[in-house]
Amino acid sequence: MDERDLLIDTVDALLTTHCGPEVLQAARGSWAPAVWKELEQAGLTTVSVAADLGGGGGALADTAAIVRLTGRHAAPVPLAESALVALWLGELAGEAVRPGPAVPVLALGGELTSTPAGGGWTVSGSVHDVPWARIAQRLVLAVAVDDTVAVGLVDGTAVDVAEGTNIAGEPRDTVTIDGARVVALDGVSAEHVRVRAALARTGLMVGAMERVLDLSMIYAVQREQFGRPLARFQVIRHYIAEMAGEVAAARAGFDAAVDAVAAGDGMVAVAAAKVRAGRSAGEVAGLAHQIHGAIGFTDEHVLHHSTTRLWAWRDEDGTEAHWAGVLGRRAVEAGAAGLWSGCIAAPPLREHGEQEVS
Amino acid sequence: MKGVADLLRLGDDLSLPPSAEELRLEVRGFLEEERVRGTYTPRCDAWHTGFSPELSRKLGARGWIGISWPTRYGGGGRTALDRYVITEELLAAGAPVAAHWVSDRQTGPGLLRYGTEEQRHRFMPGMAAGEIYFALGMSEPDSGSDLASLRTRAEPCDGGWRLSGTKVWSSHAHTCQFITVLCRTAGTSEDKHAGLSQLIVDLSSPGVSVRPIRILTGAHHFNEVVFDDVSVPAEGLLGEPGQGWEQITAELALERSGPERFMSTFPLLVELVEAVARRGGHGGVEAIGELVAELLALRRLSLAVAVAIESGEAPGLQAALVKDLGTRFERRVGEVSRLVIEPGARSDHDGAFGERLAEAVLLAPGAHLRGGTNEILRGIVAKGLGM
Repeated sequence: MDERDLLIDTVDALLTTHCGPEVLQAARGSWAPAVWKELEQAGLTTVSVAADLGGGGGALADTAAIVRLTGRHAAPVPLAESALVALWLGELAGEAVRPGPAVPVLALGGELTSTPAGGGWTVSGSVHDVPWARIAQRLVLAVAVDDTVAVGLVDGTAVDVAEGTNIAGEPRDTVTIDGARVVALDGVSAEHVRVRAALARTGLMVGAMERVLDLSMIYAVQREQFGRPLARFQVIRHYIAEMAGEVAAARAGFDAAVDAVAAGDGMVAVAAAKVRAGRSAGEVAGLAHQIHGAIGFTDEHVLHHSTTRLWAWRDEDGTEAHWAGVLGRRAVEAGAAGLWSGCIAAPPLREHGEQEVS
Repeated sequence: MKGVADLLRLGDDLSLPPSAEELRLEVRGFLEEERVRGTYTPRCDAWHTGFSPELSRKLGARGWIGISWPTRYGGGGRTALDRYVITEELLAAGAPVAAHWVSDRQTGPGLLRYGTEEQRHRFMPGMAAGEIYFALGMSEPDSGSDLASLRTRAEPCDGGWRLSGTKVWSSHAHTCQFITVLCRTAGTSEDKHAGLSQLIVDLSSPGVSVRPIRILTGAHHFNEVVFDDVSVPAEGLLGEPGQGWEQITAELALERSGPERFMSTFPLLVELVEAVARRGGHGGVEAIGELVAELLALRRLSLAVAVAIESGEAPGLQAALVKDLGTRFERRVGEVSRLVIEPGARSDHDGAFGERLAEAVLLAPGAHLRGGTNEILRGIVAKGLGM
């Protein structure tokens, strides 16, 4: 058993213990600070941040595994957004880690007005659907301005937060900013940030799909009708097999995306992974509800904690349509001559002379 | 019951060594030269239907058949990852490699695993040279998905066996020299998997007749092979008597997981990208993106299976998944392409789009049936998950 297996088992056990159905029910429309505390105390919230900034100095794949597991357990904490997006931005800006979740506020589509000021900009305006904004003491603001990305650390009390939720009952708030300071980050584009956010969302989805398939297999084996378990019926067996294929494909896409981002060239792989996971999510959720029958459709049963998240998450950080458009444009630019060699079978490249941003 | 993440799990480190990437570029360069020279035209399903002794000999001469076999049998002494890279490039090019495909993919490895030294020396150098071609005798008129119910029998006799029965769907048996035949050598159908053996049969033996089975396009590559009391010498037995089922099960994992299970319609995808690029605008771009996303995930899965097999694992579950997903993807390439490029525009330019689309659509059913129907595969997956 290698180190990553050990990490995965540790996180899985921790979340099994601290993130059961009662915790999920209680955290709807809010979050579970106790779960965050457990993760933080175990050093799991800053795993891939450089050691000299107070992090664990681990590989991206370690954080990716933790994200996937929080997705699996539907953990009501901003682990994914904090660890993969906010802390990454913070690290690029040379920020040391601090206790508590750092929540990213991504204003990459011109949502905020910007005024040059003192070597950077002052920005104002509202950003919608910000995950977890209401619970954060520290917001990491990333703004697309003048062909670059500018970043600033904003105190949670210095902004106005209007609460909202996604269809899974997770906090998705409107953050209104009045004159926050941001400074340009070298070598980071809005696309880089979007890719990073999409990677986090994909990891969560893959984990949730694993959980949904597990639940479906257990239900099929335990539930009996017509004198035998559902698992003896060919239709059900084939549904399970279809789900397994979707989960395997989504996981493969995610693994490839993590490798590519770690190698500094993540756009194609992440776009592909988000597309694939988005498609899988709908299929897997639908089949799971069929297998579970009426009981799976209730509030009392745990299935909805995962399926509503799948439905919500596939629409966040770029839908399949968005990322398929990005990927398709790349493929068409590569053309017939470059489709295989440049797009699909190309080994990840490091762009010459550029700081590694992933 | 184990969690699904554990059951589906494949290894993490899938980076290809620099030597494999160098090999890839050599193969790609060679195929590009041959294509430009007009030796072949890229086609869908070419790995299955395109029988070209000329191309197979050229590939063999360069050491690209049997690259992972020991050199003392004519192989390249390299790894399964090198083979994977060559395979991918041949498929991406839509090259006609059917002649040596079965040998390279499964019969050669079968000889390595179960064959005698004599058999290996007799067949493998010629296979690696692209000169000896093997067909497969598995399905029968009354035994398709239920393969173990087969009725072809080999009775032991002085000096070997006498083989009688009928095999169907044997691709290229009319142009191969040898065929591996799964037959019953002991017991009856009631014994199911027990009592089956694999025999290597010379297709020019007296008592062997090969008859074409044409598919709905009129093309001939499938055959019915009738064995009428054919004399098979003792040295024709591959492996142990009664071990035939176990032996082919290992072959099936190899057969099912390879990139040919999702790359058959890649030549059409290439033409689709070309047609959309020529046309300009945004139409078809998202559709291409979705297909490319699927292809990337499948490639990763398939490579992970190849790495697992190379490490001595037997990922039958994952292999079945790759083929189920892959063949459905192959069909989707055709279904999507026809909606992106209108009929009136399909013979534009060199007409290649129209030709590839026709191939993909007409040949689509085959992918879901050969090497295990998708329904059988899903049953294997469900069983492997502990259902």
